[in-house]
Amino acid sequence: MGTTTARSMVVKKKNRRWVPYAFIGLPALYLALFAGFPLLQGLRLSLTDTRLLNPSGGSFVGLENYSSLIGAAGFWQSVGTTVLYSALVVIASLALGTAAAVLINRPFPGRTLVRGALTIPWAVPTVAVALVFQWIYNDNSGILTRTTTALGMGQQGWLTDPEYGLFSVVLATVWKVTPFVMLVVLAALQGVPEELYEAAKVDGADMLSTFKAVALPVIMPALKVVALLMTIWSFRRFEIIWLLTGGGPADATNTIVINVYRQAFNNSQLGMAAALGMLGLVLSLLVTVIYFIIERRSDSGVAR
Amino acid sequence: MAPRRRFVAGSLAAAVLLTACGGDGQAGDEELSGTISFASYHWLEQGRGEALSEIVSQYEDENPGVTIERTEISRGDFERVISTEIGAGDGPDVFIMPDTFFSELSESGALLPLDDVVSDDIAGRLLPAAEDFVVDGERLALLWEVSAYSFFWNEQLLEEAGVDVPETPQELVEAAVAVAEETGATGFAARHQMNEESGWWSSYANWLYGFGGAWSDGENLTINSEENIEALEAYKELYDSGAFAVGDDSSTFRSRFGQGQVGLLIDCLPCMRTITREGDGIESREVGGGAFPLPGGDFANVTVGFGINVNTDNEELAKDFVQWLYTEEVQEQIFVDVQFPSTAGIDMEIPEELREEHPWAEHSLANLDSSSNSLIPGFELQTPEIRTIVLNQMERVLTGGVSPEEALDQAQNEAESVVG
Repeated sequence: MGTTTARSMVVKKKNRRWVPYAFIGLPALYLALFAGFPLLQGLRLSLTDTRLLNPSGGSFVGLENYSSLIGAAGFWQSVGTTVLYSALVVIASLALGTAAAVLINRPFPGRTLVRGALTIPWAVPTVAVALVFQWIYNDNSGILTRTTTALGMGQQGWLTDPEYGLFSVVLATVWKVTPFVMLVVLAALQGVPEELYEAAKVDGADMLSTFKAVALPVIMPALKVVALLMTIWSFRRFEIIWLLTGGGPADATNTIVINVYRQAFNNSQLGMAAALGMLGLVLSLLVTVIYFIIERRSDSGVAR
Repeated sequence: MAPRRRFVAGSLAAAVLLTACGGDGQAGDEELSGTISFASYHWLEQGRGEALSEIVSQYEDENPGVTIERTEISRGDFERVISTEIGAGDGPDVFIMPDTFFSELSESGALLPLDDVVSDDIAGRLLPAAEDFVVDGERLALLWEVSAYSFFWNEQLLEEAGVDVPETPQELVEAAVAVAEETGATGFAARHQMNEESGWWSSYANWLYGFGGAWSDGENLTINSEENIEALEAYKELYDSGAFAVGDDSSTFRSRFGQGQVGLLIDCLPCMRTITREGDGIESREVGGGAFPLPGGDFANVTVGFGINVNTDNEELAKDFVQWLYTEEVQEQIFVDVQFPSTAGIDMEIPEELREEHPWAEHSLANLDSSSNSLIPGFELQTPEIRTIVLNQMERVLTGGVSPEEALDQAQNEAESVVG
């Protein structure tokens, strides 16, 4: 009897050892199928001169696509545009989203209504946002042009002048994505104990000091994660840029993703587009690695 | 000249009525059945789509077991969607293809040869442009239409502005400014943005040919030639005049022209028919049309082919449908109800009532033979890549203060590195 119990315990223990692998197995299989395999296919494509109409007909060209990309000024301009666009979007949306979250976290009449209204841009389909902003930015009859004309600043080419092109696209993007930051920060703010606010009030701290000393340390982990997500999403963002400018004017908004699309679908150069995509992936990985290095350093700093 | 003028000289006089399954056709004895898809951007065009659908329905009525799926793809997405689908081993069974797309399709073997589909009678009546779709002696597509560009104006706005129809580039700028200042309407409109890349390229070709320019001499690229620089300088002057519809895409400026809010316009002939088809807008008799106010006088066209996808599962039905479409009777219907003022695939006489109804089409139709498409001779396959390079540099001129000479020099260097 005792031997049987011991044996069944050993079997149970052995079975339990497989449980974590079973849990990990399914997602791992999913990732291997839907991320790993396409990634390897992309890598293979990037080493060929494959064209869009004949995806299986390209021949091996080694690193030719990479060398011609890296040697072209257009590629580096594209990298610069991507980094600038992402930096502006992340900084602006984090600042505005956090400010909005702090403001609507305090009780006031109609708070639920305001919270709902502020999340609308996030819920609106991107295509609709792009169409609305196209009209706002229209050189001849857009409300922005009419406003600047009325203010004596003259007619501006919001989407047609390279000086304003990137700014206009960033503005539309920030309008669209800020509510996401606001919602995440608002959720994080619910974790700040009310007593801490009261203590800060008793100490006579102003609003900014209260935020820095009480709220910021609590919401900081959420802010870091949302900053990472916003950065990666900004690197990958396509629809709003494509619909507003198509990468123009004069390549002012030609980010890496837009460039990939142009190579693949305008020029039918699938191999070259895959090489561009790979370089874009390296850029995203770089940001993620930097994030984790910073995260680890700050964790070890806290531990010390 | 005979009273019933033809718009293509030298065409064959004999009009042989062709039966749907006649000639070299392989089908006809057995009843056909099944479904094939027909992809076109015409389905989405007001008036044209409905008219084409009605014609196609006749084939379905004649062959009760057959369904023709109308695959609607917008003009802006057309090449991308078809390329992706064919690349995936799928795609529509039959489809139209602009000239700039045909080279890519033929190079990749995506089209079924049509030599056994075209009867000798039909082959003898194909318009000269149909030869653009013959590669190494094989006919890979039939001619669907030659769509010419033209210069249009709103008669009433020009009268209100007190200006005559411009005849030189300088007069064009002055007329556009006068319309803008005197009437408050937009002076001039044409495609000019990268998000309409293909359309901008075709539209700008009018400007290029109007100054006697060309992107190549057939062997070498001539992007930075003197004529091309001169054309871009004149275009820039009009763009900077304050009367240009900067920022308006084609659907916007067409709507505005239809509402009487644009004075002068460069656009394709069938586009104007679509604009004037909309009941509550500008009427055809209020529109003027004629020669481009540019020194050369040549203008651009878009030649469109029609072919069968090599991936089709129903080759016999697809070929039968093509044979039916290219009978004289059906072509005449397509020409009158759908294509005009574009041509049909075979030589057709223009009915007098259509001429009277659309007088603005006369000049371009009469001079169609001297028009050219926007493919770069000798670099047909690389045209899309070179197009992107050139238009990007043109944007720098229009909006970035770069001189036309510097921009076209840069485009020449970049394009040369692409073609090797």
